[in-house]
Amino acid sequence: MLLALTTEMSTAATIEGDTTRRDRLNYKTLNFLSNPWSGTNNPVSLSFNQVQTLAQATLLAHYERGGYHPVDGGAMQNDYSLDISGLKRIGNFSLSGNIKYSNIKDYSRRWNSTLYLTPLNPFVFGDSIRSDMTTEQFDLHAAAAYRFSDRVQAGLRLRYLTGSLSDQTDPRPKNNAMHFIITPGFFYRLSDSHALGASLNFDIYRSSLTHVVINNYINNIYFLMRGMGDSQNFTTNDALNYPRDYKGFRFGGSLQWQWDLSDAIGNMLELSGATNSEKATDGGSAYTYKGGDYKATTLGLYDRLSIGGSGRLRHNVSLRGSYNGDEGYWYYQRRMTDPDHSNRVYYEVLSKNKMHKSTRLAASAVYRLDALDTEALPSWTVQGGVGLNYSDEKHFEESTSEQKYTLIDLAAEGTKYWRLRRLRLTTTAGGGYRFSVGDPTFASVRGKLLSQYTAPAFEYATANTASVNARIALDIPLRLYSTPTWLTVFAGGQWRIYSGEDSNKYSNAYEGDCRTLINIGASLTL
Amino acid sequence: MKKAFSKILLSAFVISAGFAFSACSSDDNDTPAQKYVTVSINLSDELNLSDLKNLQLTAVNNTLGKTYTLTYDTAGVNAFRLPQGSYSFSFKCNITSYTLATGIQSADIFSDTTSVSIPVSLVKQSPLIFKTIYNAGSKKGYVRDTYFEIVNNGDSVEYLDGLILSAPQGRQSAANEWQAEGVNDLYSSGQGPVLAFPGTGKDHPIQPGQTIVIANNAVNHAEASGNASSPDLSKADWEIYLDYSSQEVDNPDVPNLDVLFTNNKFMASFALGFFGRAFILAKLPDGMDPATFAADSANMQTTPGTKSNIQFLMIPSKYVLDAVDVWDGSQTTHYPTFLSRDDAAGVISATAWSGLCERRKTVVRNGRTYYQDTNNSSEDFLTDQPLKEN
Repeated sequence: MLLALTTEMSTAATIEGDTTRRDRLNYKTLNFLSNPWSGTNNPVSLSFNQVQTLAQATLLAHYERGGYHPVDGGAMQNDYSLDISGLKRIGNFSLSGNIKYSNIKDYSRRWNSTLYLTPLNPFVFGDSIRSDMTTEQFDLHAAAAYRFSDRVQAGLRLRYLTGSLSDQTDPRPKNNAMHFIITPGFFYRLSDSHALGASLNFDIYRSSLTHVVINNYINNIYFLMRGMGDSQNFTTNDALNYPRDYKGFRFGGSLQWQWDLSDAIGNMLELSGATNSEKATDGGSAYTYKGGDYKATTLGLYDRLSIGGSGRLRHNVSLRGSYNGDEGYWYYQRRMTDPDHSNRVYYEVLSKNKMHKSTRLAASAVYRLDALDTEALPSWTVQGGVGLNYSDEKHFEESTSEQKYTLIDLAAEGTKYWRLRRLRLTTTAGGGYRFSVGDPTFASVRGKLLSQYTAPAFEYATANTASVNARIALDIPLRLYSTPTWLTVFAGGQWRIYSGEDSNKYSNAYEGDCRTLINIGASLTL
Repeated sequence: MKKAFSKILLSAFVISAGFAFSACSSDDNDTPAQKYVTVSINLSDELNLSDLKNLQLTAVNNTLGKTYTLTYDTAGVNAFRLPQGSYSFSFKCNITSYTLATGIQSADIFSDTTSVSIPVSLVKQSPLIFKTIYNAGSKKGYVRDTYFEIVNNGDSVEYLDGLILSAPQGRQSAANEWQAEGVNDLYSSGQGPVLAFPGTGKDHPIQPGQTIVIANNAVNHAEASGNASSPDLSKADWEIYLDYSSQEVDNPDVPNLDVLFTNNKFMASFALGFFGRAFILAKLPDGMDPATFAADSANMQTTPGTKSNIQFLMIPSKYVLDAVDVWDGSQTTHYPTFLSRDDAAGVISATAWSGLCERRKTVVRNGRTYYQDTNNSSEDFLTDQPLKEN
């Protein structure tokens, strides 16, 4: 399947009768509008795409600058990527696939040397030395949906994400990590107005992190994070090259229900749930030191009401809700020496205790209005939404520490598609504002890493933030090898501003800071 | 069709309920783990409970790095509720104004049934003790300028004759091989030489309060190293001269200590340990000659649990006058080299190559300066001290 998809570009060129293929330029919008399954987890959604055949190669340069970034993120980021993707329909098969290579460089980053770890997992591993970290990654997916009949369809999506993170400042982490995700799906049409779907999700996570120290005259500290800045520390004098492995498994399932009330009104409801576990084990082959067990349960709801049918104005209201409850367990361990086996060092587990617990609730509502032109291509889009995020995190150590906050996000964006003779111009502008409501509750664990880590992390999580974004793209028609092709050059950016009189409550680390994100690139679509 | 639809909805409900159930299935408490521990003291034969004054009991939670001061009641049950963790309990009391009794005991407290019995004994305050230990060096790569100061902390004349100076093997970041085998009262001396003062018994007196300097190399190191912060040891009282080491220079104006024993002639200097080490002063019983003791194969052992055939001279704890564990501050775990009666806990080493030393705290009694000696170097010594005493 992968081979078929990666040769998409050449095969797609030979079968298309359309001489302009403007629909392919707008495939994301058109497939969203025409396919109510497009926002769900079910891979069968491929079958319902309006744009079924497409090949696209995108070269992207992404830059981030400015001091308003997560405490364990890079001060700057340069990210270069090449993404080759395609859609294809062969008989009853609908296929999609992509291969994306990224080279990401984070400058002056510390506190976190993990890769692809669940962001809420508190058992992060890192050091305190600012380093320039490079991540090279490949992200591949292949998906197929098969139409057995009008009533019955099945699909399968495979995704393989693999990357390697490293830096060249002592202690030098080298982290090889991967996710392999399998998502089978099923579709059954009950009647003209009702259809049901179900999908499962299996995600295997592996990460192997080691360190190299060149200058062992300087003693550095390894931080085995446990949440809220609390950590168990080892030094490079305790263990020069500290190894850590993560093993994770996520299992989830989703149920979908499509209900078309009429030709013009339809609703898609998806309920989903998942369990996730990640275990950290240190020591490699020399010994075993347990670095923390994490487990989480997620429940999600997605509902999309579409109004407009095949008319020129399409209304979509999307509602999302999610619950994430997680727990982290820490093992108290004692270092032992075994005189019967050449004084081998090992660790004895003395106790296992719940150290972390958090509850996250999120809800959002987005209204989107799309207008199509006389050729049923996008003319303009406006959308606006509101989101609510609630977080309550507890840490159990000498006493209970609790961090709690509620945030509201407001966002609006508009896009206009312009025709300039044979060229096409797309302009997008938007803005947003995030603010906390009520009085957030802040705590640190006995003041550990308070000013360096815990307080800036909470400040970043709760600070009022304004953002504006804009994007401009110019589509130029070409003929490559007698094939109608679009060359798109684009540039865009987002500006996030740390703002509000109520900010600076917990840390002044971001005073006067902002973050600028720039995207520049080009793509070929055929 | 309606039936099928109902079944699917029922399945959806069951799956959703399953996820919800798994979210609540933890059997662990959402509270910090606090445990009860009962503490008692076990007095040595020379002590009576009624003689103890100024009782001080502390518990250091090594997991949290936090110290708890507890009140010990000699008449009641001493049960305390503490955050779980690995603890070091320390007991200290006065017998008279100047004599102390101390004890230390480790315990892992992860259940409510832990009992800790602290062995308490009289602190044997030897007259000859280390006053200063300068192991950190003053210049990276320059290994020759270390020295020791020994003081007569007693009130009568003492004699250096036969006094043994050694740096026992101690890994300190893990239990050493002897400790792992349960051998705690013999200190494996070697990793270079074991030294002793020459003399037949009363050749080298040291007056009350007098300090003598033992230089690893009795030269002016400020000149030799080109580093002004290196000490001038050309006028040291005693010198360690290893005639088998090509890097050694013998200062003819400074008398040398005898080399009793060596198991590694590649060690260019005595007791190298810029980040930490352990040191003892020991004296054999009257009539026992240090050279004879060091030559007796019965007093030697190879490293247990290994195939190494390198011999170490084993010095019994009972002969130790003073023991000082100097711990590497950059390591998070420290294993004591000595029994707690010799040294309950180590002092953190002065910063490597800083030109600073570890020096004993002082106390003034009856107008005279004495040096604190509770057999607990973590309390008796100050680290990162300037070489010149204030």
